[in-house]
Amino acid sequence: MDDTADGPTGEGRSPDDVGSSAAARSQDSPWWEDGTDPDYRFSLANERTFLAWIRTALAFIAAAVALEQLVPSFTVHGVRTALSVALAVFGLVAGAGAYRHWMRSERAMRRGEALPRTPLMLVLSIGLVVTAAVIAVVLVVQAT
Amino acid sequence: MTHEPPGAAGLQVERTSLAWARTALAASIAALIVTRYGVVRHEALLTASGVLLLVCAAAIGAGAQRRQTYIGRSLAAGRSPVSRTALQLVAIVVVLVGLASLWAILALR
Repeated sequence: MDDTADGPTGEGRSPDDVGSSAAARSQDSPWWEDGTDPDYRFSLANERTFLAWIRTALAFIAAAVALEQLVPSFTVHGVRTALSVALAVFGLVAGAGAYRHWMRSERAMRRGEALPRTPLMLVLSIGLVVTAAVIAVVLVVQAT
Repeated sequence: MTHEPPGAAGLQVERTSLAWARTALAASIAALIVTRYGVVRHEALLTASGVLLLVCAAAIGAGAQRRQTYIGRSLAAGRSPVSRTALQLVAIVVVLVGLASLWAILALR
């Protein structure tokens, strides 16, 4: 994952600390001491977003295990395991990415910078489309 | 900031607390699925990670209430209500359970 996504395209800015941040950045102190405390509503919204990603990760991990455990093997060999692995891997990525995204958002808000973008959403969408397509294909193949 | 109606802080804190409670619920269900798989397939590592997640879910459920108190106290004191450690712990447990599940899926296929 790259660390260069702090572009000027983010939509959320704390109204209180725009423009007050440039001098506050320091090489020595940890990021959570950068800048100024953002509006608490933004911090709490960021925390809820983190939790939503965590729930997504948990759902994917549970789906991976349930698929392997409860669904009878497809006639196409190895497809079920491949799907399970893909779901589990995304669960892992989403769990780790949740914290990274939370941290980068909190830091951007402290510094009064634009909010970072995350590739997680794109990965999630592509992953779901591919998963659904594979399942559709398998169902068609099994039925014929 | 300027247009915040009275009581809005309470609603913010309540929403956050509910998000923690939902997460605890999601974690318990995932934990049950993972633990069951571990027990059925006699896979100690997976069972252990499922139990760890279950303990974590219980801690999150209990922590949701304490988080509400902590946020309220932080706001009253004018401090940032951010709690890095709690978020780090949750993320680490989720990643551990994900790794154990991935390993089990590959090992037991």
